[in-house]
Amino acid sequence: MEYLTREKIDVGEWHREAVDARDGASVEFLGIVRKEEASKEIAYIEYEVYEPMAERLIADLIGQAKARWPLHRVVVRHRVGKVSVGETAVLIGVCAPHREEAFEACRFLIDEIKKDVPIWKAAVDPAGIVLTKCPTEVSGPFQSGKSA
Amino acid sequence: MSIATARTITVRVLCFAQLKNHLGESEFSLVIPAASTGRDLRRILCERSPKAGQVLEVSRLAINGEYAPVDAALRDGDEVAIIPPVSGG
Repeated sequence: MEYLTREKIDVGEWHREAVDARDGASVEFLGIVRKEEASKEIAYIEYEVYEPMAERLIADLIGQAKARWPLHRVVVRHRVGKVSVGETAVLIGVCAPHREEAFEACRFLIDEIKKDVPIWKAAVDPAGIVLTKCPTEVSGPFQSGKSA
Repeated sequence: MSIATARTITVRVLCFAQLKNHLGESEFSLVIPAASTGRDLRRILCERSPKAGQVLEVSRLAINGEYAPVDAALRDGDEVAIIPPVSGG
């Protein structure tokens, strides 16, 4: 897997990569697991992924971003499986000559990943109960569901 | 090997998230009428588990790893993933 990982995301690894001398801007986004989802305390999030399709769609999105902006380095890493509160669930890093294109490309990638890539999260509370969201509501309340 | 006749095809169905819970399995083979579409498959799955109806209604369809319109024709051997609203990132 190139973009998905079951291991902790090492942001330092991205920082240690050699910088392209044409780039004057580096922008990164970290998606971090919060301690609450819809005002309910959680212990962790479980990410489920349709892996082959997710890998291909992320590769396509990176290709689209590189065609649209002059990017020289791009990294996308998304966790699969259990991610505890405080841990990084997704990393997006972009390097470009100028800040405008770096910010825009980074925003594009996270927005499109959230919209289209087949990844689902299930928040689990400290008692092990899976908090589920009504599938027909975009921003509705979570309801307590089965045990994890 | 699929068990298909002139009037039926066999597809591999993949389910995720809430749908997996409602249908009880994450993947299974299904023999359906030939010339079925994604819409027909959705109806068949809903009959199998009425509780899955709400999720099926808002789910997208992927055939062999590519998003497809709900009226896309299904072929023998297709891998059909029912994609509930995603929540990654």
